Amino acid sequence: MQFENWRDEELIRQAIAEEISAAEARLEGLEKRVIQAIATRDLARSAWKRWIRSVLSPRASALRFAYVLGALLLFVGIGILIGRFSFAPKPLPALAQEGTVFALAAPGAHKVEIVGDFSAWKPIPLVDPDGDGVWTLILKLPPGRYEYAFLVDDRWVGQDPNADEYVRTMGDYTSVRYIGGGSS
Amino acid sequence: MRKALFVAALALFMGLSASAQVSLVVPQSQVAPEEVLRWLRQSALPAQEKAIWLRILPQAFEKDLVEPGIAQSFFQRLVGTPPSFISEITAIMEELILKGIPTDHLMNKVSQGVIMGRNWSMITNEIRLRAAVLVATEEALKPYKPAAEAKAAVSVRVGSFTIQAETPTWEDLVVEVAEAISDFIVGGGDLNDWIGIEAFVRSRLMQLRGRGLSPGLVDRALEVLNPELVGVIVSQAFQIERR
Repeated sequence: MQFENWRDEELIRQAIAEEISAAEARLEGLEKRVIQAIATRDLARSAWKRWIRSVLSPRASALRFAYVLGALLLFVGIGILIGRFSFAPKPLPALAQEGTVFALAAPGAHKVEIVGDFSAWKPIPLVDPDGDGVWTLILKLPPGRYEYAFLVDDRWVGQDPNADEYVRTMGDYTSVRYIGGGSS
Repeated sequence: MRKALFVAALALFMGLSASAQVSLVVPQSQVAPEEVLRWLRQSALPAQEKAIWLRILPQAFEKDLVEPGIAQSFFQRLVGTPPSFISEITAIMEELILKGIPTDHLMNKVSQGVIMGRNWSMITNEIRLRAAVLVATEEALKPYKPAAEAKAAVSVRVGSFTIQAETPTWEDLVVEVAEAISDFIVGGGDLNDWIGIEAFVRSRLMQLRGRGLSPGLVDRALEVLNPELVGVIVSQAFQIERR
């Protein structure tokens, strides 16, 4: 029985030795080939993917965290700048250089118009593109004194809070704006 | 390529969004005098009043007493109103135009009264009052009118619109003084309060100095303006005995 076990072990050992000697040619340079394959795969991946991979890697250090924070702040900063110059409404003095600003807060109104002696009292519509209830219009007017009123859903609103003065005509108020520098 | 398209689309969107926040309008389009006369000929105004307007209007346009755009709006509102109102308003305007007094602001007042939904009697009463004050002011200030006066007009063209900016004249000053007196009275002021009226007119003229009226004209008016002169105007306009 012992003799048979010894023979089996010998056969197994011989088979392994044959396997090793047969694979020796293929194992030669394996490590180098693996390193090359990994390097080639990393190069093929886009730069930003490699950056994200390195940042998300559990080996990310405190330095990498600071790097991410900096990038995030830069991103938010650019966003604020774009918003400030592109989307935010211009301040009134800047708009006033393009013309005279007429604005009225009329939340819930369906239609706001302005009528005045500058248009022979024909209505000109105001707009509220962002739907915040503030209706605006810029009119290019030569220097002078202008009487006007708003029509909010066809209802006369003669007292504009931004008017220079008010006059009473035919039983109701009318707003007045003075355009131009004056006293020159 | 896709990135470039995205950036371009974003820039376009931002530009459109920013410009859509406000709308810039030039209020009045230029109307030719011939256009108003043509419209008047074809209008449904009573024949007698139409004849009067067609006779006096060309001169009024020529002398800058009436602005065509304002006149057109006025006539459009006049059509369909009671004949007695048309007759009275026409008579008032005719008198002023024949005297060489601008009537733009009174035509505008009629349009204002209509859009305010006022009845014709209320509109007529106010126009009659303002016209009376205007005639009285013109007569009271006539002795102080500067000898020579050059009128220049500058057209400012923006897109398809044209704004006529003219050098203010003595007639414009007369209109402003008369309108200030009328506003004081119509607003509930006492027409015997000459000091109050004079202060009100003075304040109005100071506001208009350099914006609507030339400083020279305003200074000239401020020199001659006093409660006594206001008394002359008010007494004549309302045919009341002076104190």
